[in-house]
This record gives sequence, C-alpha cells and structure tokens, in this order.
Amino acid sequence: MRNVSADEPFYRELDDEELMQRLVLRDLTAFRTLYARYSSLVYSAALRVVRDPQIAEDMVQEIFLRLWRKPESYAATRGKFATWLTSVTRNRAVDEVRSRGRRYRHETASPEEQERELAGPDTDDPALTAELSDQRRLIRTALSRLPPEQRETIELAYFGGFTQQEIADRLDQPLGTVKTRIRLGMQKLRAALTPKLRW
Amino acid sequence: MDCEQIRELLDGYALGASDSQESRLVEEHVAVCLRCWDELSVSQATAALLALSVRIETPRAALENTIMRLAQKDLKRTPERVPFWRRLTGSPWPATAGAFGAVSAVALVVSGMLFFEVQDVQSRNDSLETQIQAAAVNFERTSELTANQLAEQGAIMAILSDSDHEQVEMMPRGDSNVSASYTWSAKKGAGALLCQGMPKLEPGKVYMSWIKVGNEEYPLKPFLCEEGCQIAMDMAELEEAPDGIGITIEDAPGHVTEPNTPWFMYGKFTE
Repeated sequence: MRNVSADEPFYRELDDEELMQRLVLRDLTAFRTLYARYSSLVYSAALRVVRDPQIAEDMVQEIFLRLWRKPESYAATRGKFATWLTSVTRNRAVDEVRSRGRRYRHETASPEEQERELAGPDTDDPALTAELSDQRRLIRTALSRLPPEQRETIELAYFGGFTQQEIADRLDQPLGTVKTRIRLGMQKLRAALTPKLRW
Repeated sequence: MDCEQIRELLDGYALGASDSQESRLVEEHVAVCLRCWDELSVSQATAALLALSVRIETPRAALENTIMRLAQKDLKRTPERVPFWRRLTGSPWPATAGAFGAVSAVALVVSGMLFFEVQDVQSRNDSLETQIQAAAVNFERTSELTANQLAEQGAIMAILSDSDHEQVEMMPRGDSNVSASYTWSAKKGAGALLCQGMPKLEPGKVYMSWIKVGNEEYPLKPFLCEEGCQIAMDMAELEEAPDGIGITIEDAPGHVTEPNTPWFMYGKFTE
C-alpha cells in the first residue's frame, strides 16, 4: 500500500475539515490521508483503554471504516476533528471494555506504567500536525504536574472507564476522597489548558 | 440540589464516572441552569483533551492494507454517495419531478440569460473571450446555488406530496415561544423538521434531532438553527414505527449515540 503522506502533497496540505468534506464525496485518497495522519493516535487511544494490541487494532478498523461509511457523523460546525476522533475512540473503547464485563476487564496501567506513560520524551507521531503535537505536549505536561493520586484517579475514570465508586473500591479509599481528587485534578487541568487550547 | 452541590458532580460526570443517580441529577439541573451548563461544557472539553495525551504507538502496517481494501470494496459497491434528496428522485413523485422541473427551468432561464449576455458581448465585440468566461462562471455558481436550495425544498415538497404524510407537533420544554413540527412520510422514509423561534446556541453547542422507538433513541442529525429553519431528515434506515421525535442540545459536533441532555423539544407520533 502506498504511503499517501509521501506522495500526495496536495492532500497533505488539506486540513482535517477539508479532508472530511472530500470523504463525503467518497474520495479514497482523502481517507488514506486521514488514516496516515491519525491512525497512530487512534490506535494509541484505544490501546490505552483496552490494553490489548489486537483489540485496539480492531477498534482502529471499526472507527476508520465508520468514518469512511458515515463521514456525515462528524459535523464540522465546531470542535476540532482530532479531539472528536480521539474522544469517539476512547468512548468506543470504554464501551468495549465494559461490555466484556468487569471480570474480563484488562488491568489499567500500574503506577509504574503510568509514570512511563508521561515521563521522558514522548515519541511524537511525525504524521501529526505541528499544532496537534504542541497540544499533546501541553496536555501531557499538565497531566504530569498533577499530584500522582489525582492523576491516577482521573486516568482510572477516563481511560479505565471506572465509576467513582469503583475507583474508591479499587484504591481502597473513601468515595469522598475519590471525588475530591477528581475535582481538584480537573480544576488544575482546566486552569492549565483552558487559556492555551482550542478544542 | 443547588448549583454549588451540582458543580461538585460535574467533573465526575464529564469523565463518565458518575453513577446513574448522579448523572440524572446533573442532567436535570443543567437543563434549566445555563451557568452550570457552561461549567459542564468546559469540564467536558477538558476531559475530551485527555484522549490526546496518550503515548503514541503505531499499529501494524498490515492494518492499513486491510482497511484500505475494505474501503475500496465499498467504493466499488457504492460508487457515489447519493445525497438524501437525490435518493428521493428514484420514486415517481409528482412533487419531486416538479422540483426538478423547477431546477431545470431555472437552469434554462439562467442559460437563456447567459445566451443573451453572450449575444450582447458579441454585438459589442468588447473583450469577447473574457466576458464569456465571466458569464459562464456566474452561470455555474448561480445554477449550483439554486439547485441546492431547490433540492432541499424539493425534498420537503416530496414529503408533503405524500397523501399519507403525518405531522407531529413538538412541545418545548418549559415555557418557551419555540415551536416546531415534524412532517414525515413512512413511504418515503423521510421527514422535514420545521422550527420557529429557535434560540441562538452558545458556541460549542448544536441541536441534535432524535427518533425514539420504544425506549431507544436513535440520532438523526445535528444541526444549527437560529430563529427559523427547515431541515430534511432521512429515516430510511428506521425499521420500526417511531414513537416520538425530539431535539436535544449537545456539545458540537453532536456525534453522540444517546441524548446527553433532556429534551429541548419533543413530540409523539400518533399510534
């Protein structure tokens, strides 16, 4: 399969919304360009939740084919495509994990794995736009500056798909403590990200 | 619950970590409290950004081959994505034919104007080539715009032309001057939503229409509307008789699988 990012400079110059408009017209090259741009991000978001490369690849296939078959599901009125796409991926992955039942749920990242997720230089995806790469860095920095217990709680909720009660049980902490950690952590993220990012 | 209590629940809700009771409390409150609604929007936007924070890993190269092969296969099966209004033309409806007759007539008139414009240009023999080109571009733009507008009208007329079409009056939540009705045809598998007095949405929000069948809501279409609008809706994939139609206000771009907010408007189909 040819690498579209290497030999389709015209398409590479198009922004996400323009590529999505072309998808409505069944433009396969536009689809290939979007895949080249976002497949790693979608795969990584799915993998972060399901923690199984095969299931994550299945989700990439499902999500991209859904995008291809129903491009109108993304209304480019407002909201960034990348944020929408990764949110859709995360939601779908959480649904998948939940549908498999708690018993089959893959373990979320251990504290050591979480440190590795955020510590050290991140291998950025060369296909991502410079703007998106900058955003990722800002978000990762904001997350890494949270106290570990707040970050862990937020990640268990968002990437693990656990309810606050489940998190409390899992961490053996009072429910009130979990809620406070989430609230404080999200307050700090908002303060760090809201002035800098457009979503 | 007051705003202060609700705000303590918003971040958990935005992360999808609230239990069903808390979720209900939040949804009921933000439906009537714009300030908390705003707070929730910011919280949801922050939560959505978390998905971008993941460490980048790359899927196997073979996956691209598989996905592109499947996409290519789709392309062969359905060579062109046909818009809703063009699908309607497959049926012998007088109104649709009329709409397209109107499109043709407009095109004819515009082409007539183009003809006379060209004649005039020729008679004056003044920069002939340049003026013909400009007229042709103008013709193309005019006919495209007119065709799009007429197509939407044509789709709606086609629904109204079905003698079995039904109209559902939608009621707004609370005291409001908003009015909306949904006219639909089971035979055509399509409907038209007509809204009046719709308030302008805050940035980052869209209206979302839903069809309710039993206890399930199925998303129809996100849309923007200020004051009045007419929106054609495709219901071709609906397999069972619908029970109701509703509008919610969702975060843009509105890709949601179930309503996240209470009905902004709702109407029941006749049994």
